[in-house]
Amino acid sequence: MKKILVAILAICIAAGLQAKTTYKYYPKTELRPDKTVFLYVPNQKKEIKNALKSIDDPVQAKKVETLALTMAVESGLDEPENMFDPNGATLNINKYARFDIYFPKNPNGKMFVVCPGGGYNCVCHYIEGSYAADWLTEHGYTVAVVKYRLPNGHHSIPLTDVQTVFRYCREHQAEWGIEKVGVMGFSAGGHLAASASVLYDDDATRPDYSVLFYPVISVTVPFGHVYTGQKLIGNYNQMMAENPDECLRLINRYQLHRQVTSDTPPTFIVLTSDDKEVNPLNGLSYYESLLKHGVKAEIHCYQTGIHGFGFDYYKFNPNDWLGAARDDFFATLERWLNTL
Amino acid sequence: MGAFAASAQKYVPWTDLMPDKTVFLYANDAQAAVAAIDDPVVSKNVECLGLAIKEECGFTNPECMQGDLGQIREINGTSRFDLYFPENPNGQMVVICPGGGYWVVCTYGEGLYVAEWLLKRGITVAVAKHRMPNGHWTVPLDDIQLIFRYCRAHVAEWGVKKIGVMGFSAGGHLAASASTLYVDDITRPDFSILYYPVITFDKEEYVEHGSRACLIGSEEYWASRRGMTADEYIARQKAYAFLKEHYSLENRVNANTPPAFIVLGENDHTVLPMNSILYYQKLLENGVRSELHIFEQGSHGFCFFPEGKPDFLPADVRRAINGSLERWLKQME
Repeated sequence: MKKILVAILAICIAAGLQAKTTYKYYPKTELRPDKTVFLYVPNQKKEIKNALKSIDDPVQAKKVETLALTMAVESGLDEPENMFDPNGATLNINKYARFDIYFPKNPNGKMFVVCPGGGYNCVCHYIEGSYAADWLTEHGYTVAVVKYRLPNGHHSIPLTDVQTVFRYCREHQAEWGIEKVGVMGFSAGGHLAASASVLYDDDATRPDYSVLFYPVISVTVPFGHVYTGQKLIGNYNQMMAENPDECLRLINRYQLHRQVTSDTPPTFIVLTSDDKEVNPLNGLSYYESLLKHGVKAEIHCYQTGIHGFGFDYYKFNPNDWLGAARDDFFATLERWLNTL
Repeated sequence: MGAFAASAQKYVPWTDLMPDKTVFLYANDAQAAVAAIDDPVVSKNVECLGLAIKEECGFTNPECMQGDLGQIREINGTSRFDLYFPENPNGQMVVICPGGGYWVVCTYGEGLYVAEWLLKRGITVAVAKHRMPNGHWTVPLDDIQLIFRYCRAHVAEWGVKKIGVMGFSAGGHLAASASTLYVDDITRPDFSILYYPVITFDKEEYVEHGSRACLIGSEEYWASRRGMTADEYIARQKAYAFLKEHYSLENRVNANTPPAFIVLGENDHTVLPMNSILYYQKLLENGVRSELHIFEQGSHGFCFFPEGKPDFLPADVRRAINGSLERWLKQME
């Protein structure tokens, strides 16, 4: 009898240890989502359990569900998910694409769908995801951080995921007491957020407002970010050799400053003049188009802050790249958000 | 004198602040110079430089104040600047070019009240009440460069290390001119602060025509070919095209242009925001680290106002703009 008890105990401990997976990098916030929603995992307990084990990500909610959707286009990224730096940069997100929902203590009726950046090669979902959720929920915003599928040259993939998140949020808007759903994006995630803002399909997928951090807007010369463009669309040289019309069509489609109309949502853009990664002319061109079309918009270009300052501010990082401009920036963002 | 005193009383500034010194660039006689101005803001401590005027602007009427933002018209022989010294100087100085379409200078809203704000932050100030160009394009910049020469000669005495230029609207064009058309290290500002500036004269869809006409002459003036041969007229067209290109200050930006802080409102329908964007774009392209803030609210000419007084801006936007400028100035120390 005793032996059996000991054996049961041992099994329990072993199970406990097994469940407590360790990760290479943890976020510097204790905040965890209230709900994690997978997009493509089949709706079976076993599959969901397996998905949670397979993602390289300690940021998971206790409450998990899946939409069990079918992918219209496959990216072909078969390697396992891999978080390779403390910013939360994660490679190979594919069949476990998901979004984390955070509900604030004092909801203000507004929501953000957050698209972290990473050149469409990875998703930096700590500094441009969890930490954004930390700040936004503190300010009353409901948040969905999207860990979208990486395109690997299949351009429709990331936007499809973000639009799925929008549809989900719109469906739950009433239940959550949300009046408006906006989009926020960083760098390549800024390209994704701006894509959501100009390439939406219907009212459900149209963001009510956009906040773009050092976004990629152009995917080609003279000032665009070609790396991001090629991760999204494919190798330009190869495509020009195989199907130049299609290549040019896609490049033009993702030159987002050319897609702005008077229906583009109100936009807030933040840049730094010393950004050597994504030329600030990207954000500036987008603003110019908004101006031309009479869209309410603000742009704030700080002198210094380089690329990728996101929400990696003094709460998490003593060497905040935005430095003295951080409080100034937060106050400016907060003021603008309050006008919505 | 009596008439001037009466008209000056019409527009009393919303502050008791007076300059520590008023310096006349061209006048020789302090008493006569002070009597000739229509401006209650003048120091008891007056200096006359008695400089020679390089190019005449042609105004012969006495200057005249005509609005409660302290708009002074037709400044010529009374060209001057007011100096303000802070209690605890931080080593920075700003030469302020008030705006007014190169027709007037708004010496309160874009001069005196700005000086008051800067002084509280330890910044030494010169408010320029420069000559109006009246179609003589070298006139305002000549005055600003003379002010720079005077200030640079006094930096040790005043505890000043860096001198920037700050301009509003057409004064922004003047400040941007100072920043790009300087002739030596003395006249080159160390930094520029541009509030809703006029920048371009050659991109017709964005041009503020009033300022352009006042600085380089009107379209009608340049289009007239009365008394000219065909070749003279062709040469004249060329000269006009040159001036439009030359005073489009985005065309003059290079890697040595001082860093700028630019602020404006998106709904500025007087000086279109593209003016600022063109200048900022060139700063970026030339690797000059700078700041640009375009607010949704804030139409043209939002000026500065003393605290607690009626303001053209919502309080939160004013706070944001002032906060950004204060932080940027600290970064530039």
